[in-house]
Amino acid sequence: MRTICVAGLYINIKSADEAFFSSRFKDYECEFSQNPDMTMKTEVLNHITAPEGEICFQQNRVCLLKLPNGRFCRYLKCTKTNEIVFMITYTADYSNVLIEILDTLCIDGLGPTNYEYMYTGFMFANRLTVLGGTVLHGSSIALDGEGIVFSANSGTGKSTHTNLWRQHFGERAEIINDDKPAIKIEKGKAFVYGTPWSGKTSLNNNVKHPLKAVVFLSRGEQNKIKTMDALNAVLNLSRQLPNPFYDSEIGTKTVDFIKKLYEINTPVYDLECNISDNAVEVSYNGIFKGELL
Amino acid sequence: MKIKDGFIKTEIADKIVAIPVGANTVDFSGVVVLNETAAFLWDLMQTDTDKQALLKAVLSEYETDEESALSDIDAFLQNLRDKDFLCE
Repeated sequence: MRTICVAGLYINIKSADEAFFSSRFKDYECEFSQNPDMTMKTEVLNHITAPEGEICFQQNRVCLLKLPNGRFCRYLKCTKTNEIVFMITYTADYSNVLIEILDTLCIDGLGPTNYEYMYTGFMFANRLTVLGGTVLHGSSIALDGEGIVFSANSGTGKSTHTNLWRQHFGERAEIINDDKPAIKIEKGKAFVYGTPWSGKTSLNNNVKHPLKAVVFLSRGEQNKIKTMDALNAVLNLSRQLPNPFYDSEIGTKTVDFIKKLYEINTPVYDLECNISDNAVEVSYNGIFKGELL
Repeated sequence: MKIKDGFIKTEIADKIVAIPVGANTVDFSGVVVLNETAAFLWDLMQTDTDKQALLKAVLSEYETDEESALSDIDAFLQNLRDKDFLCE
């Protein structure tokens, strides 16, 4: 068990794949906490048994149970063998999470370590959401100490765009997190934090910067940036922030967070861009100089 | 009839919206935009009600005639049915 500090949350975490996670969590490790904000443990097993509980949700191969001790348990069964391939048992506030993964789990080439990485990230996002913060799906970079999150559906080109920023600005640009940066509002100001969960890459830094803007990115022939209208901003934010099907309380907290982002006038932009240096210039000029369509 | 559970109605940047949460996100990933009358009806339909009760409430809240109010209510209800937001 080690303690990591992510976005100000102290997490006592016991990993199944120690070698992988000791490297991933290295920059976030801190002194062991006796009073953590969250405890997470992952076990890789050769058989997983579902506990007795009241079924709250059941669809396809997924089942959500409420257990007699007040905890929740969500599991997924294999379509072929009907075996449980993963199961997550957690307190309603996600302060205590147990992740169990079947040792033979392999979906689309992803094995137990990949799933351990994904699920610990999802559970962290839920815990942070309960505590008033959030995790935004996006690639985040800081320029001269000001953080920007470029958000979009997977495969759109978020990382490609932040990589272009790093090439263009060199040392002035610092990656915060390539997939799942955390955002917190502190004393009326939004801050973006690095987290160890950065998607397919290990591009993340344990840093904190004021949030300059959220930019929703789409592919285009031309490079153009404009302020995103409120309805589209709400729609896009609600799709890229935690809103899991199995917990409407998290979705409710996310709606509160979107409201707060608006109340503190967080700029939200709509960027259409191609893969070019001009794309960086256009988005930079829009975000930092107000040169908008 | 009532509106399905699992929407958070809120006002953001002067717009009234209902955002799906929980299991509702499986079938619907959009945001419902409500004008003032729709928001009024949306609130009434958080608990079980019927068309006559909605009509009575609209007529007492807004300066409108019965025919227009009924037409607005029907259009709103049809919209909810089309999107499968209604429990009947």
